[in-house]
Amino acid sequence: MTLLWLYISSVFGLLVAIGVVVVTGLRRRAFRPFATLELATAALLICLLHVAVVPWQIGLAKVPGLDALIFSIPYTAIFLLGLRLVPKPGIATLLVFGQGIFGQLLGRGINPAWWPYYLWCAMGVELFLFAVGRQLRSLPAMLGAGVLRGLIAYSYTYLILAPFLWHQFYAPWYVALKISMGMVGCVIGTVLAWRLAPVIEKATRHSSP
Amino acid sequence: MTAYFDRPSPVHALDPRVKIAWSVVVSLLAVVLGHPLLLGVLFALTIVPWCLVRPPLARLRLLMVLVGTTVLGTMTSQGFFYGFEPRTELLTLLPGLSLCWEGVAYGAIVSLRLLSVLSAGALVVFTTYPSDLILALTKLRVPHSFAFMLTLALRFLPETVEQGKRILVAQQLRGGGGRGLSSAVRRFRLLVVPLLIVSLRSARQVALAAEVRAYSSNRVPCKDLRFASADWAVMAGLVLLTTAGITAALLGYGAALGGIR
Repeated sequence: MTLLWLYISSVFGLLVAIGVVVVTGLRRRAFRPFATLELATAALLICLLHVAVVPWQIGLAKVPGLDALIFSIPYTAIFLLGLRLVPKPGIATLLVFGQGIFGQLLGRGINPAWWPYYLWCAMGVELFLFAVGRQLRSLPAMLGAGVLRGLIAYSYTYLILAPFLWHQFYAPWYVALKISMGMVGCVIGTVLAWRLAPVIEKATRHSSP
Repeated sequence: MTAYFDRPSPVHALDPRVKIAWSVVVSLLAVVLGHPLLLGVLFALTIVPWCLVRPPLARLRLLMVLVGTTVLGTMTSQGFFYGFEPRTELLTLLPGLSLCWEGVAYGAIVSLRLLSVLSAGALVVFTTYPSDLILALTKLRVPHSFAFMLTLALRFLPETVEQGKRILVAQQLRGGGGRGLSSAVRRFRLLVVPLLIVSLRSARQVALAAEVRAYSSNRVPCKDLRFASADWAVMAGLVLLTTAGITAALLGYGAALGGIR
């Protein structure tokens, strides 16, 4: 019963986080509708997030302990590139929630029990972006966004979702190891994104359709 | 691996919303049920619709690989990193890191849960055209711009894979081949930037085409979803199944947290 209540509390916590994001956005008059080009860019990034993760699902990522590290590198890199390319409130939600639903559409089947997980990751980053400004022009800001998403994602997975949905229970040291490996992956992914972002931005700025 | 497979079958003919409900019900029961026998029955139930679909052998083989690695990975990780007592050690790798029987057995039970959810979810994807799933989501009040974005992502998927292959071939023709881990990392690094740039350009073209054709969120879909009698019958069955599962959990056959019944 404790896990059920933990999960339900996380959903209520999520509603509060969504409320904070919405109120902050409205107070700052930050919300603007997405243009078609921005939606298309987000769609492409969702597709790339999916492509970046799928090849690892049968290989090395099945090795206990390594999975978090392997998944988080490409995911964080593409996610942060997305935040740089479309610096608008809501883009983190579109990317994280969109990739989650896209993955469910193409492989695992629609399962709403997972939606709070995607939304928690997204809301954490949205709040962070409101705090630092939406530009992510410095490495520490990028590291903050990348590591925060990873921290929320891996903590929520191994402390709430895995025990509640799958009934997977691990020794605490192993959970700590998995979360740490995920964080290391996020840092590597952030550095990759930091190096790639100027090249990609320059190329897209000067390219014609 | 679990992409849409076109074949006339009773499962294909069901409304996508019913199939989504099936996936949700199985996920719910996998959470609330705990007795291995009941979890086995749940997994067996998820296999029944697959018999109606009769997937081709090549796809089945791939699914079996996925199932095998899932079971093996879960049993190994639970076997080594099981956090409860008692622990009967079977094999010691390092001091403090040993494979225990209770963990392996618990991993097998957890695998039944994972496989039930995987089987139900994969069936939805295998028997429903992706755009129909998106239409079902729109019917379930998902915002239209979000559905539009998912449709575009589906359209980009084969194109992105194709672009990636094309770039790799071009690099090989220019002598960029080679074996080993270091050359694989180098190839990957050389692939990422052009792939991203070409894909973003393609996204621009699609956005421009959509705007030229006056895309707006007030679109009326050309296809509509309606429940047939078979859909209502399956929904009634799902309600019964959920009631039975929750009753079994309340009667003491629910999930045992970390223990083996």
